[in-house]
Amino acid sequence: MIELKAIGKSYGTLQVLNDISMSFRDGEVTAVLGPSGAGKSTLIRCINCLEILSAGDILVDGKSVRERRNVREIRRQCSMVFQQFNLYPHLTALDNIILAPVHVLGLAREAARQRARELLAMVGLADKERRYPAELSGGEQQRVGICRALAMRPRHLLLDEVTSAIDPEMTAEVLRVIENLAAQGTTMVLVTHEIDFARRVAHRIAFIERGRLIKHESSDDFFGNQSDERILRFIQKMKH
Amino acid sequence: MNLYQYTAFVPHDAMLIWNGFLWTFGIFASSTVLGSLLGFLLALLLHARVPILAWLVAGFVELFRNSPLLVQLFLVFYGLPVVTSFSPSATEAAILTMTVNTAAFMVVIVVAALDAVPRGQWHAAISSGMGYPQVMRLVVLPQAVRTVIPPAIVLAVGQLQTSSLVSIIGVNELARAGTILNNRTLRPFIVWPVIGLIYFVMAKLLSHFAARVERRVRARITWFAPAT
Repeated sequence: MIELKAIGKSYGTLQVLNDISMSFRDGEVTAVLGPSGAGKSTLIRCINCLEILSAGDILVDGKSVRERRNVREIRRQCSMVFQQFNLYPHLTALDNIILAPVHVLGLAREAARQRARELLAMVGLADKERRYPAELSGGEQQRVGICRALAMRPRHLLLDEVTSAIDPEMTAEVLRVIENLAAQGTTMVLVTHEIDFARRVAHRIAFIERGRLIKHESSDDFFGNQSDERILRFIQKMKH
Repeated sequence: MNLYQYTAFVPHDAMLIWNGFLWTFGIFASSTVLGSLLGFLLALLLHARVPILAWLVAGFVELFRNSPLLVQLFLVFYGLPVVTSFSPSATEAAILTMTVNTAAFMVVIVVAALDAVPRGQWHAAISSGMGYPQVMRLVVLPQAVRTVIPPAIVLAVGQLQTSSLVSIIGVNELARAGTILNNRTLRPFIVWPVIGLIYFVMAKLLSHFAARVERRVRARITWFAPAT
């Protein structure tokens, strides 16, 4: 479980996140929606300590991000998938996936490879393990990115606009992988602009605007039973 | 007695030049290797922003990049014996000065290469639980090496030419062999073109060799599979 307790984040005088409290339960998929610049990415980057909180606290499985000695453990438990993939360009797909398992978890190289191959097969890239990131399409790179995150066997998966940098015709294959993960009960927090996708996979929706949490409710309520004018307008706008 | 009786070239002059070449090569090679290693280590300190040390490195780099090598050479050769108990020989002073000078330039090259690795690479690596040394060794340095090689070659070729300055404190390297021959034969337009040609050939061979190393490094850490 990830608990956000009145968190705030500001850069100088710019308040990016303001007094947000909510929790992400295990086995649940939460989509974080909101207009550009609302603070969605900052929110999930705070969870695995890529950003340092200005106020409040986050507990990941009971461990506070504010304690330095927890940071590496929290990062191991919260794998992140990035908008720009951030694959290591000097390593093959397979080596990208096994790097952290071998050097952080201390897994034997062969065991890590075995696991990486299973993951690559799961996302339909079994034949691409020797390819370098530059030789893969955006969609393929992002699927490798997802494998790299899963290889750490994290308790939580954080996905930061994982389809925004991919050609539209390539996004489907990535979304399909995420949908399968959701069906398997993987805990996920995903920041996305794909509103239909959010509706399909997410159990709960968090709507953020100008750094404030406006709504945090079940997907059914959010989409089916919405009374908030701003959110209705946002949903309308995202659909077209 | 004829003042001009020794102005002719003699076979032994070739030995003088050969020895000069060996000294030039030795001083250049040792100071480039040592200077690169030192520069590399200092660059890591600077990049990691190690308190106080990084500050000292920055000061050192500024000082040595913005003062003439000749002044540094005089300070080491004539100055060190005055203020310390260490009085370097001409060769020691030459290698020491060139090493430190090379290191100062190398720091800038390496730090620039480290900074050129995108932030996203850091984020990906630290968010998977790696610590700073692991990120550096496994993710950042392998990528930075590629960026370092070309400017490092330019630096090395420059330092090869610059090493001729150490003739002034009396190291018997190539430029000093030229001075000796010139003073005896009074034929500057024969002596200096020959000396210049030797430097030229050395520089060319160095670039050629370095380009081959670079290709090999690129092949080993290529980011693309060989074209099939």
